[in-house]
Amino acid sequence: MSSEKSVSNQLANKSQRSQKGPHLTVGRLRIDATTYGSTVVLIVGIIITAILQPVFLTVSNIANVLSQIAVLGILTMAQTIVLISGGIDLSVGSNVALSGVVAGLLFMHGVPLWIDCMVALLCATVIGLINGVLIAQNRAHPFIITLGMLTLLEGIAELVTGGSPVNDMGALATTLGGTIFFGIPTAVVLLFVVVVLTAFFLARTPLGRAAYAIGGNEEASYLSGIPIKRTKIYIYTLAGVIAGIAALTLSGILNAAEANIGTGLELQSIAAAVIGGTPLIGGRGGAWRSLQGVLLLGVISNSLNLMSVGANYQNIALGIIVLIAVMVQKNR
Amino acid sequence: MYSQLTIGLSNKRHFAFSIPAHFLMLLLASALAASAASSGTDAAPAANSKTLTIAFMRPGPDPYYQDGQNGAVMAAPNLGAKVVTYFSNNSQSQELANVEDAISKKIDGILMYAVSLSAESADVAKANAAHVPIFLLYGYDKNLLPKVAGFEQVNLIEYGKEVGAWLTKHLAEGKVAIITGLLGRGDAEAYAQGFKDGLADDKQLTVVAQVPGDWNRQKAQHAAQDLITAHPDLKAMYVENEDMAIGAILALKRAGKLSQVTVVSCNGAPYGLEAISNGEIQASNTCSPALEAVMGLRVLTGVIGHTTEPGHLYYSLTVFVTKDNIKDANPWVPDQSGIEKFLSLPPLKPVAESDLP
Repeated sequence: MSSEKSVSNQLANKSQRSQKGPHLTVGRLRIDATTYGSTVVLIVGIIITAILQPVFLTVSNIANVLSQIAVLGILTMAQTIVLISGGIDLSVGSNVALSGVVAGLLFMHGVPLWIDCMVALLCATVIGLINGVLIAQNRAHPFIITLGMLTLLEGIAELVTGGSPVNDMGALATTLGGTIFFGIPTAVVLLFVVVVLTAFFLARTPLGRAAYAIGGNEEASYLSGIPIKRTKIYIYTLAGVIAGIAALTLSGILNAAEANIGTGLELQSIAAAVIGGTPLIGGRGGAWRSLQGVLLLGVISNSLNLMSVGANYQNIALGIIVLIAVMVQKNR
Repeated sequence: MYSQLTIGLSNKRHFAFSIPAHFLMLLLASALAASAASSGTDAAPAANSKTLTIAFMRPGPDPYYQDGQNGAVMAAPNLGAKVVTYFSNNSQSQELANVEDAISKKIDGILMYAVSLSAESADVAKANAAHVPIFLLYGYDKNLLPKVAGFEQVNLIEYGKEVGAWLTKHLAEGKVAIITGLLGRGDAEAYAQGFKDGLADDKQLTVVAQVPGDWNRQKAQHAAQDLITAHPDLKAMYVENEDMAIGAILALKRAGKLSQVTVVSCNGAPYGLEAISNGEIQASNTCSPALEAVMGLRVLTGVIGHTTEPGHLYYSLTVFVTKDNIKDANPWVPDQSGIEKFLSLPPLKPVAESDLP
């Protein structure tokens, strides 16, 4: 077991060392563009918005931004773990929708909220487990398998709700959807906890290191004795657990659950991770990097709304800023 | 109490997603196609050989379309027809395949919400080639008017304009913001323009922001948070449908601003009416999809029976609702007595050629 751990650490370290990309030298300061590209764009965006719209840097608006990115941030952690292992999960959004709907429908039928939440988390975890088993046991690309799962889960969610929203999530709206202390949204605290745990998992646990190793070179990992199938099953199951947390958070924030509530979240989570510095090719990236991408998207959306920029111009601005962020990190 | 008003190809989600070919996708596509093709639901067994068979096609799973379909299915026997339903899964190609399948089954007419404006031209061409009358709910296109049994939709500009006009009478002055639906199909743009037209005569109300909600509750909630941060003295918010309005209301509640901001909307969905009765939405322009489908079916069966002239645009019946007249809203989900009430209404009057948009 210790030799297995050692090998996965070596492969993971080798994979992460290859992250050194183009850099910018300012005096004695060396800025790695691959790592900090989105950070630079984020800081520039914050400065410009703060000048044009002073309310941007008020405490209440910062709380707004953080609460607005909470769900996407949590879900992006699930996607980050999967992307690092060389996979992809297109079903995270529909997993969020179905798990939320499960909790909502149970609550509507008088089941105690804590049981609803546990069942929803279990539902999300089982979905992740099924993804993991299917991906581990088949040669088909995770893209196709999770796409199939996306369609399946959407269909089930629409079937059980009849397309109508469940409009009351009880105490979930005042707990996960409310504030915890000093006006800090509970969802933001939850996001922070999930990010810290994800970062710890990736950097400090054998499974996390194995994810880097498999994403960097699956064949070498296999030859080195890393249990590929078992690791993939664990990773997708973990992604399911995190999607379940995101589902409960979103249902709490909206005080509702709806079959189409997760539509687009899968692509947003992939985009946020990639923009932040967790590439699609696997073996690289991390929780804090992906969080940068989430922050960037959240800040852009918030600042454009604050400046009352029209919808069409918002799309153009968002596209340009995302392209800049990606181009700054040339070593994708 | 009825006024002539409406929605565009409302609230559709478009699942634009390009993927590589693969057996699993083929399997999924086959399953979906088989499901769509076999989802026919007879409204009632054919009483005799003269019973008309109408194909009802809906683009997506949204409650609006589902309730429209239910209305048509329930009303069909009273109009000497049975309804066979098709689901397009928000796919233009699936929709066209459904039209072809329906034609090959020798149906007598097609009643449909098209997936998109571009898809309906192909659908109409197929139906015309087979000499099958086709009636479109939403997606009005003047060029297609001579080729169809008719179009029915709300009067997009008037729908928003009534809301704006109501606001001018109930709010003395202040800043107003708009949260729009997804731009690109014309409906969200028209609602916003109509609302602004309704405010036009009142110089004391100023539209300070127009931001996107994309028919998405979460996005509308975020937009509302941002709007009240940028404009803490905001007095009113026009949210283009009630699903988004519920998200905006939640944001206002959490910011302690709900009593300060007057929320107005459109739709008449069951949860929207509940929000009106709770005083969270002050006014909404409502339109029942079931009523819309029943009235469309009446025109279509009339065209097939040569008692109604084809090729006209009809405006859906809408009801402007506040807390005082909430019972006047036509239900989205009617019972049989509701359907009979819809059938007893006078037929829709075609929009005069000189008034066509």
